[in-house]
Amino acid sequence: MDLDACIAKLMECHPLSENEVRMLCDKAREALSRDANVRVVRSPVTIVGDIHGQFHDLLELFRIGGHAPDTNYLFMGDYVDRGYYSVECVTVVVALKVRFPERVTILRGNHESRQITQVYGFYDECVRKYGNANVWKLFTDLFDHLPLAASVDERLFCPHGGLSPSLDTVDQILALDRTHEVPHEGPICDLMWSDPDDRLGWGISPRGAGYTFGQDISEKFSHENGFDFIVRAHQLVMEGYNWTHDNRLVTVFSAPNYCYRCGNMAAIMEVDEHLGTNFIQFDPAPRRGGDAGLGIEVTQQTPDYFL
Amino acid sequence: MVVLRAAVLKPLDHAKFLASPTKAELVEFVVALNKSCFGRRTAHGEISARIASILRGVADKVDDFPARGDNRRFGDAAFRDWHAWLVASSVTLVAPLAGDAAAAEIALYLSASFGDPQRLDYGTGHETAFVVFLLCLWRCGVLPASEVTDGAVVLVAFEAYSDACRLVQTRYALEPAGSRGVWALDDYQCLLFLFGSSQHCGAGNAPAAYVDLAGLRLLPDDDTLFAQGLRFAAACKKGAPFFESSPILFALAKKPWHLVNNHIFDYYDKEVLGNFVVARHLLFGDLFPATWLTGAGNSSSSSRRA
Repeated sequence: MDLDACIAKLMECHPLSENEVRMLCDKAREALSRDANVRVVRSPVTIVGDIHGQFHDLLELFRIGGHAPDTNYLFMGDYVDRGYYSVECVTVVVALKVRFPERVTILRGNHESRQITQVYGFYDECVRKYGNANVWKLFTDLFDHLPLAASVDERLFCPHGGLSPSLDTVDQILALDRTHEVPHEGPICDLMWSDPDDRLGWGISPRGAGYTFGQDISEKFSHENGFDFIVRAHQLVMEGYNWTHDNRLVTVFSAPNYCYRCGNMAAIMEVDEHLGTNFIQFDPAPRRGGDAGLGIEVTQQTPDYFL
Repeated sequence: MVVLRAAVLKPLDHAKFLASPTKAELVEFVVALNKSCFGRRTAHGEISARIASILRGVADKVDDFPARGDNRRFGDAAFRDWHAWLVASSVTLVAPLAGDAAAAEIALYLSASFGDPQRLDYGTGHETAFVVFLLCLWRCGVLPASEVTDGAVVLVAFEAYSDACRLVQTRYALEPAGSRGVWALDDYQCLLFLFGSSQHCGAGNAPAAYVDLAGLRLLPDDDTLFAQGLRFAAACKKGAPFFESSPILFALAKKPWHLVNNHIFDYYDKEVLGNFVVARHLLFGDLFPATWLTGAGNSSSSSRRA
């Protein structure tokens, strides 16, 4: 398969065929099998938070942050669900991973899951765009192989959600068997689902999965594993990034005007060779008039109860 | 003290709920309300007007709890203060209507109708709590059958409720609860569009055509519940064409109104009541009983909110 041609096609917001997705996922599984559960990423690198199918905003992100392989990327998960273009978003980040495996890292977010995508839109979108669930099956099978976290130069710790009371060290994460569906509880679930909180210690999460964790937990984990601080995604923050836990933890969120209504800025985090950080905020991509039209095509496929 | 309980904790409970007489009665009530506003623009009813007046009072109260506007995240924490006032006041608000005995329970459904104070979100589960509130008033004999069948409950009471919801959602920036984003009928409401599409029925087989690629195509004097919901959705979602931000409503516009109405009913049954993630938040009591519960079922839920 001609990867560069596929990427060019995707950048025009055209989904790949089912067959192309199958070939891409085969290659991606191979590439991901070489990534450890906690992939060590070398600086400089640009860190990206939740995208949620906002494809035009992902293109804007590349315009602002630069294109791979000129820019190294660490995507922290949640490519799919809620937005209109989850298929295009997840396909393009997977294609970039396959094309530039050493320069692009893609992590698993809590939405990269069979169960969650059936509730929050990616499943519906695949059925609408392809007429069946095959592409959904291909991608959700691939999601089982995504790494659980990354570390930048072994100095910044980057999970999608946060920490786990079952995990004191990175070595413990490295020893986990990750190649299955995100469980309902336990260390893998926590890495995808937990949130920082103003209260100290561990708390019950209002999400019903993962935990909340306080500044003491962030400090202890970073101290014991030699991290300067934690970078994570998973929560909408109005400025696109938000420091908390006395600058021991930063949230990065990369979907501007989330769900077309939240009015938030998005951000990406550039990390230079000396681990200096620079946040670039951005607004939703200005849209061209020619974006219409696609709606007719993809709304042909509707669930039974709309037929 | 009367308390409501969550009784859909596991997928197995959900299956029992779906097969229960309680669910059947709720659906029957929704069907009756839907039928009551078929082709109808206005209606009048004394009890419905009193409910609407309570709801306007509840909505007006947001002025006493101004948004703080300092939110780093989306929802505004001042919603918790307004909601705490609602919880504290609801029995007093409902008692003149329902009587002291029934008010204690019925007031709890009203409190559950405007969103979740911890998560600062609102969704179709809360909308359903309001219909359960109406159902209980009907079961107690407070709401006369005539107001259910002649459209007053929907076009007076439910309309006041949805007005209040839009105000509360906007004022406190409530997140769409458990949202599937653009792949939902709407971020917040479902029954509003169900009843509103019923108001348009009876006009033949032409496509509803309330939107096309160029945007909304509503008549300026269209004040149906459907038009109200559609205008609000279009006004809230910015930066993309309507087909992209609301593809389900966009696709439905190609159907005649009676099919739009059928499809939204099926959507409500399957994606709201039939969706475990929504149903797990439903609350049950004596007037809306969890008939499948024999003892105390306290196992924790396995559902998650993304």
